[in-house]
Amino acid sequence: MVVECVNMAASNTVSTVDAHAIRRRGGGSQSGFHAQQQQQQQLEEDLVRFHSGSREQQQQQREHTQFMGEFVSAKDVCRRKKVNRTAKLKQCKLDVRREQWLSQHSQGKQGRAEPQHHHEPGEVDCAGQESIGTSGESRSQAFGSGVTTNDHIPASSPPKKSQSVVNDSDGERKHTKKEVSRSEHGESCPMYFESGELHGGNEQKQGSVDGWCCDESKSRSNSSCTSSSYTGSGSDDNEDTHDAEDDWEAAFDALHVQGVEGHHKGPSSDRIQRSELKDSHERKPNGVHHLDLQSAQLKPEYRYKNNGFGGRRGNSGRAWRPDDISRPPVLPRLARQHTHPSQQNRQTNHGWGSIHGNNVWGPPSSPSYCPICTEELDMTDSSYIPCKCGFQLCLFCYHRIASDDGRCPGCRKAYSSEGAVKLSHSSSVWLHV
Amino acid sequence: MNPNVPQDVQTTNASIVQPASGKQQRPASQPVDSHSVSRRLQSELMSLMTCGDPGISAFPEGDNIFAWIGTIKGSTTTVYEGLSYKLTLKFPTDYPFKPPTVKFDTLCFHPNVDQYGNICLDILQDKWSSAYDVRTILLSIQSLLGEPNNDSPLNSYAAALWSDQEEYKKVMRKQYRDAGGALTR
Repeated sequence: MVVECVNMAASNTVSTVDAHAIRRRGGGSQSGFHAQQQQQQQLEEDLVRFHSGSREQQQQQREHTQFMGEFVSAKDVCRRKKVNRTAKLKQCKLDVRREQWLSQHSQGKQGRAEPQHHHEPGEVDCAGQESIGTSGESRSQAFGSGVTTNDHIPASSPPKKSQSVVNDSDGERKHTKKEVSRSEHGESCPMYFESGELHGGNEQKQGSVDGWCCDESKSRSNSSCTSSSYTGSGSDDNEDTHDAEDDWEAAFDALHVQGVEGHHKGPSSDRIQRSELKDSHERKPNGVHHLDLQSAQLKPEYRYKNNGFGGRRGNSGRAWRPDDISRPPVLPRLARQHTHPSQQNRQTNHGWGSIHGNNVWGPPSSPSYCPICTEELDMTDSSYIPCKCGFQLCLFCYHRIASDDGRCPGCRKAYSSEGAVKLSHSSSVWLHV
Repeated sequence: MNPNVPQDVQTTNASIVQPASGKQQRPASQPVDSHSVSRRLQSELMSLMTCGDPGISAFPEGDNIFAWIGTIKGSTTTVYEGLSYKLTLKFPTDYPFKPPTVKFDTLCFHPNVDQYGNICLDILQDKWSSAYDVRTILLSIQSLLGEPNNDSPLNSYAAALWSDQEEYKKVMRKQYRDAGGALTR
């Protein structure tokens, strides 16, 4: 239980930090941050309720929040100065390490509270389900007025990015000062690591009991190893990490670059914490029950993640689908391009087009098969109407007829170049949508 | 021995050359076409069997999907009411870009059908469109029975007799019975 609480505290502070991060990114002032804080308030209060047993957890959390406040204000003083290459490189390294860490961490804690799962890039379904499953408040956050949503989403939007980055920078900072003993500070990073390791150990113990985790037992044992080795590698990086702020800046740069990706995670991460809280209401210290609740809520993503894709968040997460409810509007409508060669996606494209009010697929009654040769019409075929009468046929048959007797099969009139209509639903059009 | 060899070569050469020269008249993509033609004919057969149009039916004759046998029943409001006619449809390899050859198998007394069963129907000749299929052909012939084009008759006697429907019906039915057709009512 203690471990869980620690975990939750860690994740909560992380989301608080995220609020900072986003505020700053949007050029927001401190007041904006306060607004953000208010949003987080309730969550934290909930959290605090669960921390009633462990007072020092609260203390740690407060410490951390305070620390982060200072951190951000210091940030504001030294405006983002330069986007130097080393920072980028560092960021790359951090990303890789974060990915490593997240994967091992999430695998290690699968049976337990698993905040990492919720920060997957493609938790489209998760978001939708959770919004239904959670309280009306969170739903209103998700689907409510634009302001609320906008405020809400960035608040927790880049949990995976900034969280890990902050963790890293914190950890490295500590390391540079001195060899940090994890219990010494309430920092989210060391605590997190410790909890991760604890979880790892736990899982190994209960791995055989846990039906879910049977297939993961191997990776889990790995994960505990990696978690310890990771903390070691953190100290290895001491030399090249002189300024945590460089990392911080780099993190922001990366956030800008990957901002779109980060946006997706918004609604769910917060909600997941709520669901976690709800779960802990059950007071089931046993990981199994907890897991069942979790998995029931997170089924699609969870299973997807567990299926051999491991914890590789970048690749395992599904992309936003065009029909996802909480799909951020900032995303470009590129799915059209990805799907255009495949015929079986035509139906979904139809749906999508009609959803967005511009069904550029032409008349829905347009045949999908060539009436002459009964071959399926592909994109090019269906976009070409060679005659004013609207009779469509595949280009092969069209060329054959045009070179033979040159009359439209539909109206028997001679094909004329001015009668041909090339429907302009090429993929480039979709980029403007 | 030696003279035999050139002879063999010559004959084989000749046998090779002949199909090759025959092929030159046809488009090179003929094998692909025949595949797509059979595809199209199969889909036509499917649609014909599922649509259930009254008075027409068709089915491939034997294993050859390029030769069908169709049946047309005379429409109820015409003098051909109750009569059923058999037709043969032969599809070219470049079908549907070229029309099938449709003939009456049963002797048909009609202004636009000659004594050999040939049909004078514009859509089977110059008005052919690759959008037509067996079903539309048979429906067209069915309607042709009741609405002949007497301006370009193949059977001028029938064309002349058409104005007298009673006499026409009598002559037509007599011919039909003589040809061995059974009145189906």
